[in-house]
Amino acid sequence: MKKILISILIGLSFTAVSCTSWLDIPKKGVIPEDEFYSSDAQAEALLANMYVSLQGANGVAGSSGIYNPQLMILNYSADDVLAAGGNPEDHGEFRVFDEFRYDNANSALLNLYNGYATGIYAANLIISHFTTENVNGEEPYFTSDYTDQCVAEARVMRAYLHMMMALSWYAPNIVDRVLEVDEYPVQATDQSQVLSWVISECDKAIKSGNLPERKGPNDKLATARASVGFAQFVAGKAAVFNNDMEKARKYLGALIESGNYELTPSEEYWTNFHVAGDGNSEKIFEPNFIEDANFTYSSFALGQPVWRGRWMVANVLCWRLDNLASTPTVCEKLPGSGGGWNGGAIQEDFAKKFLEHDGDSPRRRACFLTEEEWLYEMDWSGSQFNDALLIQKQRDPNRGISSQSGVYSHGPYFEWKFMVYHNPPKILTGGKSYPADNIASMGANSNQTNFNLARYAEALLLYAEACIGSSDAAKGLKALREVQTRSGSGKLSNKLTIEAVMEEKQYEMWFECCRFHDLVHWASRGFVDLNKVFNSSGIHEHVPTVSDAFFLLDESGAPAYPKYYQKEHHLVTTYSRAVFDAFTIGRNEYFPFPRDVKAANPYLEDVLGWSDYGD
Amino acid sequence: MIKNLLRVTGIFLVLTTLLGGLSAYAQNKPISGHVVDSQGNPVIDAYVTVVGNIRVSTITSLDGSYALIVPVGARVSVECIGYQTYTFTVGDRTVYDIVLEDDLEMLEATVVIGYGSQRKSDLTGSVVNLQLEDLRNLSTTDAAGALQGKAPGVHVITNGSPGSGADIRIRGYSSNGGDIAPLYIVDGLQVNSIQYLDPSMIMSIDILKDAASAAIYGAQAGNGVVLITTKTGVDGRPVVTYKGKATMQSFARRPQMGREDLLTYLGYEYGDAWVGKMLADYDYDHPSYPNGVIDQDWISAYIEPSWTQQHSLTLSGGNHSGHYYASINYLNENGVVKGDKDVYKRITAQINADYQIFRWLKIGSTASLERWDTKSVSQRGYSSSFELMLLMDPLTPVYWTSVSEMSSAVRQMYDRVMAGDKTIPQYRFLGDNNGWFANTKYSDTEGSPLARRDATDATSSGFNINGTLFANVDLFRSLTFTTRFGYRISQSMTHSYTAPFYIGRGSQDTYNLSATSNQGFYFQWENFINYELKRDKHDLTLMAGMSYRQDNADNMTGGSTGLDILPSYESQFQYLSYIKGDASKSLTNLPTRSASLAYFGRLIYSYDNRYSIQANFRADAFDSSKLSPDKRWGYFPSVSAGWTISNEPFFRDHVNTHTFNLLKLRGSWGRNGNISVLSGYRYANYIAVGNNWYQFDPENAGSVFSSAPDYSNGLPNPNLTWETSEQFDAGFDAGLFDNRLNVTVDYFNKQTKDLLFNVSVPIERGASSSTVNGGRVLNSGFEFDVQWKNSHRDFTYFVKANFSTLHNEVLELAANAARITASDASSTNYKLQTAFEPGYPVWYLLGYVYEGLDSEGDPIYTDFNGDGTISSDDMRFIGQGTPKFTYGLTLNMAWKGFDFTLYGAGIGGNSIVPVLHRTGFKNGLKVYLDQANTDANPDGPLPNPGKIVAPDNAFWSSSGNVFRGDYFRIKQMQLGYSLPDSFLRRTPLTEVRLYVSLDDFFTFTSYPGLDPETASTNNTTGTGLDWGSYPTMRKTIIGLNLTF
Repeated sequence: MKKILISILIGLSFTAVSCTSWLDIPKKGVIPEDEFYSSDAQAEALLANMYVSLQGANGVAGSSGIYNPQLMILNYSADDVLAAGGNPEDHGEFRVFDEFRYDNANSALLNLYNGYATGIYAANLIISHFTTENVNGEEPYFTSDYTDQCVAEARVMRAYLHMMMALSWYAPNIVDRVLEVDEYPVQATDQSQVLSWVISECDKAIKSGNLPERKGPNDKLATARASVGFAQFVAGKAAVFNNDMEKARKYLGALIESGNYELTPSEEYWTNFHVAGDGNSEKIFEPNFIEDANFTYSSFALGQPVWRGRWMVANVLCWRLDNLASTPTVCEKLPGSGGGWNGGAIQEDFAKKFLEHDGDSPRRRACFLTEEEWLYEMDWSGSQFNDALLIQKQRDPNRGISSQSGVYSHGPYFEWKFMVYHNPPKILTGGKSYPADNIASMGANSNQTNFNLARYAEALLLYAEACIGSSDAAKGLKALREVQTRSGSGKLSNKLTIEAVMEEKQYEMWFECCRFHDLVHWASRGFVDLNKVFNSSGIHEHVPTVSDAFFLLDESGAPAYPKYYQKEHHLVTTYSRAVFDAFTIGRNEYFPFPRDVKAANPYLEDVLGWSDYGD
Repeated sequence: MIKNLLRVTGIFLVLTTLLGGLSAYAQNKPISGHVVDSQGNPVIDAYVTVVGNIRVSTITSLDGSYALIVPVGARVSVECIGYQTYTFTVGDRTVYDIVLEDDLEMLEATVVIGYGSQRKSDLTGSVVNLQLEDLRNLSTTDAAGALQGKAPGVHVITNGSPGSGADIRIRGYSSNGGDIAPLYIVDGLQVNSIQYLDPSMIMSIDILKDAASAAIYGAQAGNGVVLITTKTGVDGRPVVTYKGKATMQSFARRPQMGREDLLTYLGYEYGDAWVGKMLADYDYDHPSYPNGVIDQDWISAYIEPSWTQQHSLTLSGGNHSGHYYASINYLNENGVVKGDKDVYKRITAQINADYQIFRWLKIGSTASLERWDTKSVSQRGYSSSFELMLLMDPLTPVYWTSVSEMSSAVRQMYDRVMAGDKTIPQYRFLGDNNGWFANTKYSDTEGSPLARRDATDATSSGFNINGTLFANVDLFRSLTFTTRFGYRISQSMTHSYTAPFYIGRGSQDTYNLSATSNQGFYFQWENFINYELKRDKHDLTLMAGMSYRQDNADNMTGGSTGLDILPSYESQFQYLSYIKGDASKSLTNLPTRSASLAYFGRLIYSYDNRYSIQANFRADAFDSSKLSPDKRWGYFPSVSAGWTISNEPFFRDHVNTHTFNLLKLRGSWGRNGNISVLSGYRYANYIAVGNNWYQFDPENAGSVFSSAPDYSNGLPNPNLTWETSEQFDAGFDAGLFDNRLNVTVDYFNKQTKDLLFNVSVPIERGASSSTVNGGRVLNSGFEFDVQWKNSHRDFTYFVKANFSTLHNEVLELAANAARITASDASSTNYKLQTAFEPGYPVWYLLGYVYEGLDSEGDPIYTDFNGDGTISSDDMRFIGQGTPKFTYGLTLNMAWKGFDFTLYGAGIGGNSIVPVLHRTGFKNGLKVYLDQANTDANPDGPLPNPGKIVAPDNAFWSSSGNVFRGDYFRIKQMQLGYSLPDSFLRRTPLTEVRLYVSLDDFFTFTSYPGLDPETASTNNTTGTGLDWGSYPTMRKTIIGLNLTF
């Protein structure tokens, strides 16, 4: 008995003592932070993280939820793109930008902010750990030529992201290093402070000599990372928006003179917005989307393909297919994955102006189709008459808009600049073979096109603007004419004027996240009257709906247009009243800081008209 | 299965008849009578046995009656836990009415309190003790469901889906985290869920509600503790019991709009002209509907009555040196979704045994072996089949029977597949013998719920073995050492296969095949010593012990996705082994382990049955995945005291103790923790490696893995610790009229601090949130439990009612946090949030305050900040998803062989917001039309649908869309009949009971949606948001119990 007692007591105490070490369980799949930042390979992994951060869930160039916030917010806020939707309230999170009804609770706006801020943090991880630009000015553990290059790339990326924030929020935080766990970022006093800092950062990166440089227009490698050209672009653009035209000419002039960039031929203008043009001569910087099957199907995704970036932008930017008589072959896979949601409709008045200006230029046809082109030049997958006579197409019930309710929020012009091309259309390819935008195995609503953040045409036009009235006017005119020539419109300016630049830029850069910032910038210089653009022009007041007389019945069920009914396609546009708020001068030029961002940072102050809004 | 059980039962019948026949040769006589306690109340479940021949025995029924055939001159003993055994010799009489005296010593009713038991009369904390009689005849298949309405302060939330267990909330909602379930301990073994336990296997359930009682479980007891003791054999002859029942489930509620209503609604929203155009586009005569007008009720299309069957067979018995209990239980539940796609099958065997090897050594084991199989359909989420059922318009038929009916997208694809087009995936077009499952042409809804149901074949199944081995060693007189090893072994497999299918939106292009294997091994080793000392009026119990627990999990998932992944696609090839060499594959495996260590002790002292005190202490340490090593220890003390006034001489001298026989005051204070919110090394800085990748070269494949600080759980915080609750409890127990009336009242005040908050931090730091400790939450309330039992001749009845209030309030938040919000409804575009904010209940509904309509019929909302616009700053409290009070009512009646049970449970003070309004041709709740302000109903209080079209319109997130979530549900209405002893006497049976029961049949509520009870199940931050969960079904049950 006693033996039992003793043995049990010993056993008990033994257990009690030995167990504590069993509580130490190391974490799997990670490295302790204090062992990191100490090799070139780790620097490269951090650099990869920075570029990926542009594409991920909140990435500037990625899709957050079902939208790409930068693409949508910056374009819907402009005067030439209409928001998506099957009815007045569909896709409300974005339509409110079209109609200036947004507030600081808008989730897309939060995603946009977070996208920029996340990218800046990713850049700072590199800068703060491989330079002394950290909280205590501490020397890094490890540096090398390669980390110097990483730092330079990060510096430029950080500058670009700050510039975009300044153009959107006027006075965002300037975050120039990794913050402490309890530290708040410091807000800039105004836009100019941010832009000046952006320029100096780009300058520092360029002067460091550590940035990769593009080796001629055919070098694709330098388009997927921040290069000297991109640094020049960012510095130049920031300078234009900072009204420092001399600096703008310096950086943009150097970019142009480098000879490393070229506009694509007119006939290939369209490829700039599709996989066929990824990394082409015109691209200054675009985060590269994954096409590496080994990674796409890696174990992270448990056998599911990883849709990075452009997920569902394919849906948003496609026509509303469920209203059509059959699916256009250009996007024939989409009905199986949500169809099109009509999100990039071209504003009708602008389309008319564009058509008048450009005629049948390759540029215009790459942006949108006219009624005739859309109905009869384009191939429809339900039709037997794609190669038949016009008269057969006119009587073909498998093309056109079959829905009695028509296509809401859409006029009689059919944009496709950023649509996913399952089959690159003959109208643009001329029958030549080009890769599709969609990897067959990745779901019909994925679009592997790189999301372009800086294109040479924009650089030329920014340069042209910077040269107005300067001694470089001739060079500026040359740059403008280079864009005009390539467009195929046949229009060439003989004099460098702001009007000429503004006009050309609206066509050339349509739907490329420029227009809204440009309007605000030009208004600040007195060239544009925002009240006229947004309020008195009436562009907000009516929402178009386009229908096809070939199918239309009246309320009694009789053909509404007997001349066309079942005989010939003919588009009819009607208009309904929109729900909109006026563009408020002094407020709507910039966005409010998102509610959640303000909630997390009591020191962040809204500026201009937002500071007393909603109090 | 029924056949097999009948066969088994038949064999038992034959055997037992033979055994019974043998004893019939002796000279026997029938005796009968009633067994009552000293107050004259019937004693239920008392064992009446012939001494020396335990085969001749019976159990007293609900009215305390018994009948037995015994040899003349035999000695008969009547035993029942809590009473002194009574023995008599059978003489000339045939009726022996027996009064059992209370056993005030060891056999007094005991309550399991964790690492020991305690006399019920010594209890100083708030413990609910549910015994056999509370659990008898329950028809729920889920042990947690058995608690519903049975105990004050215990809120049980069920889910209608087969195999989904109920959630239990004890004394409110103390945490902002998701895991606020109580700690479950079954026979000393900690388990994650008690769903595997059939209520018929349970002997008792003890719910430790107050902190002092639960403190012995320390850092895991912050949300209360549920202790379950499974049945064990009792001394006497073997008892064989068979219980079987068949349940028909049905669903009757139809809250959605029909065709005419929906068209009227849409006409208000978008104008009749547009509706007319849509009908012109897509409506057509359909021969399956009256007059060809399609008017499809999608609930009926998706749901049909279904059958569930359950059988259990039990064998138990024992003698002075050992006991055994063996039970096998089979459940086959087929949910109400049409077809066999929501099924829960369970076979559980429970084997409990103990043996007294030496006078000083007793060993024993409890073991539960479970095999389960489930198939389920998706619910409560975007594009789930239940959401589609509710959103699908009634203008779409269930079936397309000809190609011409298909939508143009489906038809185009169908034509291409039929034409052998190899450039597209080989899509399936889902349907059954009646045709293809139609998808709506009117909107972009992702397919028919039937297509969603059939698109993927998925099964889950597994084994669980839960058990304990224990040894009790009596070291000295009154000193017992217990060593107990508990284990849980689990293994499960899931298989999933999807072939390409085409339904328009929501189609799938690729084949998808995956299989997952999970295995788990949990063990706990606990050693503790109990010491009891009795001297005169002094009663002392000391306990001290330690516990080590370790949970190990391992898993393997393999899968493949692609356009062509198998050599052939017949069912016999749908396994990972046949994946083609060039198909993409994925494989994952990540073993995990967690562990904890604890030391604990307890002192109980009582004096003269008048004063008792209890003190507990526990020290807990957790592994490094939860807390940093220098912060891993936590200490949890508690004290409680009781004063039995009715045992005081002055009380006895002045009060008639038959009228007022018990009065006891209790008070307790204690501290508990909640550790389940901590996981994932949130305190430490790590670099995540390879979570993403970038391809620097646009032309040539070859990507680089990325690395960055691992902020997947937010910014790390080295100071994290567990949530701590401190609870004060005061109460009294009273017994009146010779204990016919029992009243228990408790007041509790529980404050939880150091909650874990995901506070927003500036995203510029690298993550938008961080976990911090902070804040306080108050839960306080009164709990009332009243029981009345009485009998009059053959009629006995028992009424039990409980009611509890709950004041739940967030008192403060962590530093820098003004309000924490969650957006469970964000994917619906609703602006509504739930919020956690001082001054309000946890996760209250944050929305606009709807004031009604102006003269133009436009909705008015309160403009709190007076800026002239309604923006997010104008959102305020509009309701709480959690109840302010819960109650339950039980009524048992017995008359001769008949028994009747009615019991119900209800909650009140909570609100529900349906979040299933969508734009376009999608169905919705009819209440939005019926109460709308329209020409047809000019006094309608809700806005005209045309004014509130989009889900992000303020109305949908306003108090105008808040509905009362109060309900009272009659959980069970059961009528049983037990065959009379006079009949059974000629059979080997000792009890035959037949019953019919209507469960969940009647619900009293004003809530206009599917089901107020399940509306917000499985969700803490989204409580009160109704996404369309699987509702509770009405059940009609017939059952049979046999005891040999």
